[in-house]
Amino acid sequence: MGQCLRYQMHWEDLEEYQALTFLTRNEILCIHDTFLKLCPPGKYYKEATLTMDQVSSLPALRVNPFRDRICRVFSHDDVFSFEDVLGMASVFSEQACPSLKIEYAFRIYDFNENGFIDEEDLQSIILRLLNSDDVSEDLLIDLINHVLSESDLDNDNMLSFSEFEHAMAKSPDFMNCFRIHFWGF
Amino acid sequence: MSSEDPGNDIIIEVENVPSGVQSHPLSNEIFQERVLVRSGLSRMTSISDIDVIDSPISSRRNYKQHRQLSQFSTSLNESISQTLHIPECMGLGTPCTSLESIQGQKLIASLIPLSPRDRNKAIRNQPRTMEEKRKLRKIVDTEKSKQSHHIIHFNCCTHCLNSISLAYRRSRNSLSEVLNSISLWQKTLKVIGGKFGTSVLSYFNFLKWLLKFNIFSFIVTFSFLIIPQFTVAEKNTLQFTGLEFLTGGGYFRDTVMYYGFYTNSTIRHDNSWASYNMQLAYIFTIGACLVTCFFSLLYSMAKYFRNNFINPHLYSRGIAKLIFCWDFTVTNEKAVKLKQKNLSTEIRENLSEIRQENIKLTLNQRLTRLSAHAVAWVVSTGVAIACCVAVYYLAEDNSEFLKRHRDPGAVLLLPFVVSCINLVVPRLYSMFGLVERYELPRHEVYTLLIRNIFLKISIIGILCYYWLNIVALAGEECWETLIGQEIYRLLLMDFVFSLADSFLGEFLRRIIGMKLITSLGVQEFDIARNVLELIYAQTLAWIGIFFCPLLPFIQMIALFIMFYVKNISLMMNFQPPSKAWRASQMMTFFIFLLFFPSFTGVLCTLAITIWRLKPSANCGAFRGLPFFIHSIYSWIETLSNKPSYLWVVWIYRNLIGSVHFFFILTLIVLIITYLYWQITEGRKIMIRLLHEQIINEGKDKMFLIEKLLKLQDVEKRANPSLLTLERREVEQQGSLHLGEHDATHGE
Repeated sequence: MGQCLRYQMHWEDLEEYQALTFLTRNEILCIHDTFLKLCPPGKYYKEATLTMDQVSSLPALRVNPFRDRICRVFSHDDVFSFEDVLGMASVFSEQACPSLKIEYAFRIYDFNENGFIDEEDLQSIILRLLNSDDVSEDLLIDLINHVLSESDLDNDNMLSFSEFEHAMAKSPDFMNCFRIHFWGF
Repeated sequence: MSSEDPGNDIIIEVENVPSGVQSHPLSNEIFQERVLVRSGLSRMTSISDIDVIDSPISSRRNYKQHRQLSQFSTSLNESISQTLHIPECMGLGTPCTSLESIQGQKLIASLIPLSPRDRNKAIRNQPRTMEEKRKLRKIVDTEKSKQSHHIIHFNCCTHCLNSISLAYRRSRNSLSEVLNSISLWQKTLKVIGGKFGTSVLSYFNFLKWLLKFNIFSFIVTFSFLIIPQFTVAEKNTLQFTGLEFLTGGGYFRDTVMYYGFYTNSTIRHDNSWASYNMQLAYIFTIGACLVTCFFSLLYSMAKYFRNNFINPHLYSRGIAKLIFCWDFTVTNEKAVKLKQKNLSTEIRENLSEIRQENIKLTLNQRLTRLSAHAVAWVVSTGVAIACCVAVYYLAEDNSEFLKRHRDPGAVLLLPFVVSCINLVVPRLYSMFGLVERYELPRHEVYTLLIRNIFLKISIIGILCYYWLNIVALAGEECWETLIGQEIYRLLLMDFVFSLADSFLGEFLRRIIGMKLITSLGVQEFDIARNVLELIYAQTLAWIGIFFCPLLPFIQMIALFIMFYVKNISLMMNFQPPSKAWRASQMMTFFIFLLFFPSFTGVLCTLAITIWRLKPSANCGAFRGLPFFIHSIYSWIETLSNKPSYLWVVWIYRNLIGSVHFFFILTLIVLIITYLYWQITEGRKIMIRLLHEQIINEGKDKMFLIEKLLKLQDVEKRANPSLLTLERREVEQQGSLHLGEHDATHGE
């Protein structure tokens, strides 16, 4: 773990990041520091990239059951640039708007990336959440049925984005739960 | 678009169903009304072949058929969603519409007329990468500057305005940064949230919010009451013993702490300075504190109601919520494993409850349940009333006792008993849960909360009744100070009991749970009981602010210490909660409780004090007046003699003092409320209709897909080389637009 050359972030860049993301100045600088500690030495922070493993092992994401999906959704070509990390932190910050959070939550939960959360995705989600080996087939099918009966409005056995959005709008705890602090560690 | 060979095509026309349609009881009829299927193939004439999907549950039994259908519909939908709007684009982190496409152009066009702040907000809300957002911003800026060249304007003015608004925005940003950085306890709250989740965090956030009220009240009373009083303070002739901190009496009686110390004169230091009327200052300061608290509470309550009110018509079991609302803030590994275990337990419990719900209870069982509930309610109300009566007679006997014996410690008996009641009876109520059985677990939580709040409010109520009807009229020398001292003692004893509970009680419970009776396990943080204790203490503080202006300061210190004590005890003695606690809904309910019995009770008490009670004759800021409110009356009298303030007098006489005004105001408010209620009812009906429409759309889609598949099969079997399927543009209302498909294969 070398250290990048300590380039001070330009004031204009900081302003721009503040305008384009939901993060405050302190948070952006904290993430900048963390990024510099992890990226390979000798590179300018705007060109350096982190691998998905490096981001998965951040303390904020290390124990999250969905960390690989998070990394997959927010990375480009399997690597994270600094702006990708900022984008991820912005979506998970407290000030982010609900529509953005719901959009990305949908992408994270869509394991097979077909644009819908179907039964296969639900099965993967449940297995990740329960993380035990003794989940019976009956329980899975029962659970999937209940989830679909609650949220699937047009009865096509999968959740489109609108249905997911509608279901999450009904649960006000979603906004509070879908938050991760990437700074201050 | 008709084809050449009418025998081989299906022409499907779907009639537009007008919005606001009357709901049909049978959806089958809608199918047959809507879909006209004209086909040359004789085998496909009867619609009755096709099973119309009736109920959602039965539709899921046939997995294989639906998997086939869903695969087809997936591929159909994939090609369809290419043409949909931006929010509906698919995953993989890349938006499906680039900035050059039609949707991109539309987005840019919609962003140009917005103000810079709204534009930034809209760009920030886009689910795009930083690079794309930057490009979007640049394009919008260039477009905007191109357009603004056509507008004739005064260059220097707009330049000034632009730089002013930029400077304003920058200063506002930096101010919010500064406020964030000095925000109290941020790191601690993050740690608590990481280990215990958002539900326990909500208790600490509530504590922080109450602390803000007290800080504000303290600042206001300090600046407007205490500092002026210090300048004309009389010498304190009493002796100071250490016992004052507990009893509040003794040396403290003649300090700024209590009402009795405040002068009723108009403070005037030099003849050149303005005068300061202490009477008016007292009543207006307390009034300002309470009015600010009132509006702040109202605003918070409205905000929480708006965000968290769930339409009970669409209430679901919450299994989807359990699955999708995993708490991402938890970062501690052990906590995550525990949470997963608890989630599994809770899901199984929920499923078994649902299974049991469907079992209808026999009449006998229902009667036993109802009688158990009735008995429990009678017992709990009886216990609460018995406690109130006991407190009342104790208060009476105590004052008799104190008149005869001058024992300074004896005044602590009443607060001690009240705190004991507050400690024991809620735990007794929790034990009723062993006997009562509820259909929904949230009913249990609400019932417990209502019983507890009834107990606490009735104790405060009986004490207020005692103070205002007995103590105030008993002819004591300085009854306001006496009441202030009582409230101080109650608060202090409550604080001491909370500390003892945290240090000793919870610690002992952990030792018992871990070493002695291991089946009990480690305890969980009882959020409801702790929040109710906070509400109780805050109610007392609000009542006491009139009689003891320094009380917000004391409550501030108490809350500050409570935070750290509870935090340490939490880390040492508790485990994360096992059940998903609906934090937002509960917070709404707590804030409502803080407003409705608590704050309105405070307002009633103070209103009775100010309008009905006679101030004591020898002490305090209102001495000698027949009622407290006469200070305002005499002020209005003096103002009516000054010609430049006649408008104040007019407002007082015609708006505040006039019955007609309030009558008309109430009437208007009632009419507006009724109208809003009717609008809400109408919207509920609309939601239900739209829901039914969506279901019907889904059924239409399934029906059409089935039809198409069947036709495809028939075609394949009949004529493998000719696969002509021409589908006319199918129009359906709702969000799905099936695009036109020119599927001319072969021919």
